[in-house]
Order: sequence, then structure tokens, then C-alpha cells
Amino acid sequence: MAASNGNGPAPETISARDIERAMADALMATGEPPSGIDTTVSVSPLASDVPGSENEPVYDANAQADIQGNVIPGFNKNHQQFLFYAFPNQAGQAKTRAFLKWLTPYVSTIEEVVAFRRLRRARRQRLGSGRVFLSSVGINVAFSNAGIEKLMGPEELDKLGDIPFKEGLRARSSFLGDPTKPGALGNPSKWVVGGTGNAADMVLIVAADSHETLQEVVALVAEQAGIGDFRLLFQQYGNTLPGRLRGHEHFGFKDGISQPGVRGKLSNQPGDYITPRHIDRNDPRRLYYAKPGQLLTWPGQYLLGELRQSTEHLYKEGTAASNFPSWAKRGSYLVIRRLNQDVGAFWRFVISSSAAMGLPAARFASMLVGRWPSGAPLMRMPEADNPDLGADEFANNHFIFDDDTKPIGLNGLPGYAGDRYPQAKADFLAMLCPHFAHIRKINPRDSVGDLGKPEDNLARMILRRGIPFGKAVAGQENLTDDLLAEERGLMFLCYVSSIEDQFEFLQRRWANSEAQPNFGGHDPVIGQNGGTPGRQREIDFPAPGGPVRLVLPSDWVVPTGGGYFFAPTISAIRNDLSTPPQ
Amino acid sequence: MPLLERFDTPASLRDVPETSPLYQNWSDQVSSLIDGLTPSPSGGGFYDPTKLDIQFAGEKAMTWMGLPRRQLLPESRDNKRAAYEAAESFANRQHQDEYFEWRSERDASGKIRKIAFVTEFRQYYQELWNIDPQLVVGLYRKILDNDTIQKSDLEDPVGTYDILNRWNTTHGIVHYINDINTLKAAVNLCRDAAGHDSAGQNNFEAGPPFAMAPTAVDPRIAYDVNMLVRKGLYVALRDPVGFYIAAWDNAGITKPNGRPAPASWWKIKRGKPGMVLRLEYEVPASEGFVVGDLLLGGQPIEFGGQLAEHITVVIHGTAGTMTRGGRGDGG
Ligand code: HEM
Repeated sequence: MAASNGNGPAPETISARDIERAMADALMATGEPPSGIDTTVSVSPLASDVPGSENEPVYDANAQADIQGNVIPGFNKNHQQFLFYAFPNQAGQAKTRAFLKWLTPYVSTIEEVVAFRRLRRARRQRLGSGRVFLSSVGINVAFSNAGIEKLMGPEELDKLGDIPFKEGLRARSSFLGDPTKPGALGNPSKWVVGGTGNAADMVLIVAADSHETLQEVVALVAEQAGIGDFRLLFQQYGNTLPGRLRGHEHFGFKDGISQPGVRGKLSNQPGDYITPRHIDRNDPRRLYYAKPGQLLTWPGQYLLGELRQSTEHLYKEGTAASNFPSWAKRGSYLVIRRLNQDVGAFWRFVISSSAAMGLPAARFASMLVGRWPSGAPLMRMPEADNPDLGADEFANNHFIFDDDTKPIGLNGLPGYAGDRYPQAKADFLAMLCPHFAHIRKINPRDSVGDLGKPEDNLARMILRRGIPFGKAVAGQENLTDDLLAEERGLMFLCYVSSIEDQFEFLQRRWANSEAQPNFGGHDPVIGQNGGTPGRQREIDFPAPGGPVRLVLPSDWVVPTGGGYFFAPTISAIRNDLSTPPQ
Repeated sequence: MPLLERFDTPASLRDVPETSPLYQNWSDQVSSLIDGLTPSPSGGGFYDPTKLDIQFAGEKAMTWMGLPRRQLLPESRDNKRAAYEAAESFANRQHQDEYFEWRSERDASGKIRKIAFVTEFRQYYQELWNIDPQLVVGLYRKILDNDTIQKSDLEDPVGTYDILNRWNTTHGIVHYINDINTLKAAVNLCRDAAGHDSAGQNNFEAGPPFAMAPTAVDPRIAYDVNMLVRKGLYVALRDPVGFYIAAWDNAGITKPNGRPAPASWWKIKRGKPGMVLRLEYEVPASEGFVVGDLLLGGQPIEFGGQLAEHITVVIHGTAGTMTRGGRGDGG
């Protein structure tokens, strides 16, 4: 394999203005974010159920009022605050419980989030294009291993089967490939929370539609926490990037496009699914897709004790997990990683190496991600960005890797013009979307991976709930070194029923590996080669004469805090966590 | 590509001088397994690269996890420890069916001292034995660092090589002994996968019947080979044909003092980087502790399977198209 020592410009000679130009060029095509048909909750139920969904659980009104709403369907708000608390000492137990009693009625559930979305959608439909002027606030809570132990005792903690949760994120840090050198950025000794001596007992997530409302609610929570003698270890404000870059992450790419669909119904009414089903009833793919490219997964992948995905079959249910105490049923593990993004380092590498490879910077960068900045997948648009496709939620995720993607029929969608873009062609040699590309690493879709079956990929999926933090660089004019040097990144959050088999598997077994699920190099966005002293990452960049091995000069995504948490149901908080053991 | 003249030994091993008949014998052995599977001139299939000249299109590295998936899924999904335990519960390694076998050597207290992982074929040792049993004795001594090993240790009462000899079962590990881990089984798998007609389908739809095995390796190879062949491509195993240890992850292994264990404690004992045939993990004696004192992800290393879970095994395939007249132009 040819190795490239770069005949592009040396990264250190690339200025802030060069980065500004490259990013502006990459983002040129991206238009205003679409106001969008919000299809994340069923709005007009189908007239009948989709055949094959008979065994899907029904989450009735009680269940909907019990499960936290950021797990399902997710807050998806532009302004969020994460408050990491330590409980008062043992003597303050009563105060802790009193705080939880106060908090519980504020905790948003499936019911609330779904109701709000339906309301907003209805109003939007009436209004057409006008502003909707509806807002809501969501609060969710989750507890770390230490928090659970303090509230429930060591025996109950021990009954939770997930080993990473019981150990905690800090103890798993080197296993995830994080820097092990004490004092190095990324090492737990430097984390703002969840590191050496600053692990949280509890995290509160507050989400709102405006900064002002958010701060009002945060003030109220802080006041009550103060009364309870809680110690605020750290708080992080997260917000979406401004203007037309709403929904993009700091490197400039649209995020939050591909999420697994959660199976299950909201009532016994025909067609009333948690994840709306849009695939034509005559298309056999309705059995496993909710909308084009959105694979359906059984709710036990995110909620303890529910039926999980079968590891052997594409759409049939597997078993429910059994390794948890009864109070934890329908709760969910929450992974939080505060990931710093060094936008300058990322784009310096892109500018330098794209020149060496003779490719436009935007295209090279998109090959690291697997999507163009607008979100349009390389699999469907190999040569240039197409913002219409990027914004089209019925087309922007409709592709597989190993074979040609066939057109897919949709149930009548009023106002939707149809998928007019070229269908993806088989890319089994990974020339268009490389094996190392973030989205191909972390979701190989139809490709088989290290556990042998494409079905297995579905059992690895996660519900992502992240949001950027820090000031945007993308879209900024007169970019300076000072602005580039400011701290920014992604508050990465995901909900899973097994941290080990889902989040950790994706990070360690795939992103950090040059060989899994397919040979081709480390994930150049989030991969970490923590097992070797140099932490050197490499990618085999596709080229006409055979792949060229590129060495990535540094990590541009670096963990600076977080924790492993557990988000119980409302009834568990009320009846178990805020009630002293008998 | 020009026709392959001879199949090379796994990882191009040169355990004996080039003049030894081993090399031709080994090639014949591989050839005899693949022979007769050459497809008709059109339509793609699994082929013999010594017989059919194909225009190279690309390589496919088929990778999988060393820990036997069958021990883990679906039954032990919530109890990994049970899977680790089951994976090494037999001295004849009957649960290690991923073309990857290992043995944990324990000290008197039961703590792991050393783990050796192998991907070598028994047939290689049999071929050597047929030439001269002393060659095998010499190799055993070298591989196991043990000069006391005798020919009589390795043979059965009538003097044939005993693959289940104690140095390859209860007292050591040198090569595959699991009945499933043979080159023949792999070749058959490729042939079956190539023969299954899934034209116009993708991996979600094809659900090929032969890919239903509960292992990781069988569906991995079957899906990939079938996927290539349904595009009209010709698929061969890349020379030197063999199963290799491709990668392992040293991250998260910590010493008793909490510091990371150096990557240098992993040793390639046979083969070469990318084509490792024998990998060993051991703490140098000077450290004063053993593998069983280390943690992986905060958990004590009690089973070799904990490391096997983070080891990647590979077999390489090449894919190509038929050129005019069935002969490539070497490009
Ligand atoms: C700062 C760090 C990260 C950045 C900048 C980033 C960026 C992105 C982008 C741009 C996409 C494509 C948009 C989409 O499909 O939603 C994406 C998708 C995704 N990311 Fe990340 N990501 C980061 C961290 C992570 C981490 C830590 C994980 C999990 C270990 C992860 C898992 C995923 C998954 C599962 C997808 C969807 C893939 C698919 O289904 O096609 N990401 N990410």
C-alpha cells in the first residue's frame, strides 16, 4: 500500500482564514434548515397495523406516564443544560429524598413529549409556514452507580447486570481508548466531571426552546438542589449551532439524521406506533424499516425488561434481559461523554491531506464522515453535496452499502414529492463511502461484521441524544486563532439497555479498531488507538491505484467528562429511590 | 493476474529449507481441496487461482471475533462470564470453533500465567511429520520453549502423528484440534456460499440458509462470498491461504498499580504482523506478577476468552472478473 507523506501544505502553515474558507466552501450548499414534517411521533395513525407487528408491546397511558421522555421519543430541544450533582453525605439522605419528591412531578415522560409534539405539529399544519409559538420544558434525571448505591444500597446496585455501569465511566476510560497519561487532555484526571474525584451521583437534563426559559428552570432546580445540600460539580450549557447550521455539529456536518426506530405502540388503536411506519404495505421491507433506512428495533434495546432485538433474526423479537432488579424495569442506561472537538486540527488535516490526494477539501472531509455537510449521504451523492437530499428525511437515510439500494414505496405522505435522487449503488469495496467513515464504522447496515450477521448490527444500535456545546466556528466570518482555541464540542448522550454491548461495543470494537467491522482504518472522527503508546490512527484512503495509508496526526475528539447513568421510571423514583429502604 | 503457480504455506512460513518437498506437498494439499470447484466460464463463483486467470477487482478481508459467538449468543447474552468459562472448558477445545483456539496456562493457584492463541492447521504438521517426524519435534520444542519434548510424546502407538498429543491439549497448544477448524471446512463453506443463488437480493433479503450457523465465522464468510458472487465476481482465497490473527486491542489492560500494561507484552510467536499464526500474552517475570493479576476494563483477567473477545481473526478473499477468453492480461 502506498503511504502518503503529503505533498499538501504542512498542517501548521494552515491559518484560521484558510480554515474559514474551507468550511465556508464545504457549507456553501447548505440552506436554511427545513421546518420539516415532524414524523418522530405518529401523527395520523395508519388505518391498520403493519402485518408482523402483532407482538409489539403497547405502552398504554400508565406506561407512557412512567418512562422518561428523553429516552423515548427524545427532547430534541435547541437549548439544554446538564447539571451534575453530588448528593449530600449520609446524614443528608432525607434531604436527597425530599429533593427527588419535589422533582418527580417535573420529570417529563413519553406522554408529555408526545403530546407536545402532536400539538406543535397540528398547529404547524394549520399555520402553514408561520411561526408556531409553542414551547415546552423537559426535565429528566438519571443516577450513577454511586447515586444508586446511596439511594438503594449496594445489594440493589449489584443486581444491575451491566458491568460498565457498576464500574463507572472513569474506571472504563482506558478500555474505551481514552488517554492514559496522567495530566494529558482526555485523561480522567483532567475531566471536568466524572473523572478523578469528581464523579456525579445524579445528572439532571433540562431542555427548553429558548435560552431564557432554560435559565429560569435551571435557576429553580438549582434553588431546590441548594436547599437539599446538593453539591453542583459541573454544569454544561448545550445549544444547537446558530442560523442555517442548526442541527450541525462543530466540524460542520448535519447530525441527528440516522436513528433506529423503536418498536411498540402507544395504544391499541390500529397503526398507533411510537415510531410511525411509512413503508408501503406491499413492500416486504415494511417488516424492518419504519421509514426508508430507519431500521426498527425492539424496545428492550433501550428499556430494561422489554423484548429485545433477536441476534439471529432481522425483525423477530429476542428475549428480554433478566439481569436487573424489579425497580429498574423500563429504565434505561444513559451514557454521557463530554467530547471536545478541535475544529482547527480536524480541518488542518483535511486541507493538507485533501490537497495531497488531489480532492476538494469538502469531499475529503465528507469521506471521513460518510455524509456531506448538509447530511446528504455519499452513498447517494458521491461527487457533490445536495442539500435537498440532505434535508429529505425520507431519502437521506435510504441506502445500504454492499448491494444496490432499490427504490422503496411510501404510504401516502401529503405534501411529499417523493424520492427523486439517484439510488445508491453497491459499494462493497468501499470506494465511495470508505470503511473508516464514521457512519459506516458505527452502523455497517447490511454489511456483515465481526459477529457474522447483519442482524447483529441491530443489537448494537443506540438512541443518540447529543447536543453541541461552545461557540460555533462553522459559518463564522473573520475566524481567529483565539476563537478556534476556545473549548467546544459535543455533549454526547445515548440511551441503551446494555452499555457494554451497545455504546462500548461501538466505540471500542468498531470505532477504535482498524480492522472491525471491516478493514480500512480507525474511525477518523471518534476512534482512539489507546492500546499503543503513540495513539496513532491510520486510514486507508480509497484511490484509483489502490488505497493510500494516511496517518492522522492527532485526536480531534477528546473526552473531557461524563458518566454512566441509569434513568429509572417515574414510579421507581417515587416508590423506590425516594423512599427509605424498609 | 497471472496464474498462481503454487499455494504458499500459511503466512509464507519457512520452517524448513526451500528445497524441502514440504512446499510442493502443501500446495498440492490446498489444491486438492479447491480443485474441481472451478466454475463454468461465466457468472462468477469460487475458483482455483492456480487454474483460472481472473482480472483482479479488489480484496475482501473477512474478519470476526475470536471468542466463540456460539458460547455467547443467544443464551449467554446477559452472562458473559458463562461464555468465557464455557469457551475453555475442554482440553480438546471443542467449544473453540471460530478457526481460533487458545489455551490459558495457569499457575498452582489457578491464576493465568500465559495465554497462547493459534490459527495453525493440523495438516501442516502432518505434512511435516510425513517428511520427517523430527521436524515436528523440533518445532514443538521451539514453539513451546521446551527441550524435553520427545517424538514419543507426539505419536500414537503405530507411529503416526497424534494431533491430540499432550503438548497440544493438556500441556500446551500448537495448532487447531477442533474438528471444525479445518481448511476443508472453510473451502466447503466458500463453495456452498458461492453456489447459493441470491441474484438481485441484498444481505437483509438473502438470508442464505448456510449463514444461519451460530458461529461468527461461518455467516461472516458465507455472507461476504455470496455477496461478491451474486455480482458476477469470481472469488478466491488469497494466497497464502490461511486464517490469521489480524488485530488485538491492548487498551484497557491495567497492571496491579493501575497503570496501563505495555503493548509489548503481546508477542507474535509465529507468522508476521497482519498474518499472525501464534500470539502469546504473558507478563515478563521481572514484573513480579502474572496475567491473572491484570485487569481488563477494570475486571480481573480470569479467562483467555476475555482477551479473545478483543482479538480479530481474518481470512482474505480476492474478487475479480473473467477477462476475454477466460484469461487475464496480468493487469
Ligand atoms: C464529537 C464527536 C462526534 C461527532 C462530531 C459525530 C458526528 C456524527 C455525524 C455528522 C453523523 C451523521 C449524521 C447522522 O446520521 O445522524 C453521525 C452519526 C452517528 N454517530 Fe456520531 N459523532 C460523534 C460521536 C459519536 C459517538 C461517541 C458515537 C457512539 C459511540 C456516535 C455514534 C453515531 C451513530 C450511531 C450515528 C448514526 C450512524 C448511522 O446510523 O448511519 N457518534 N455522527
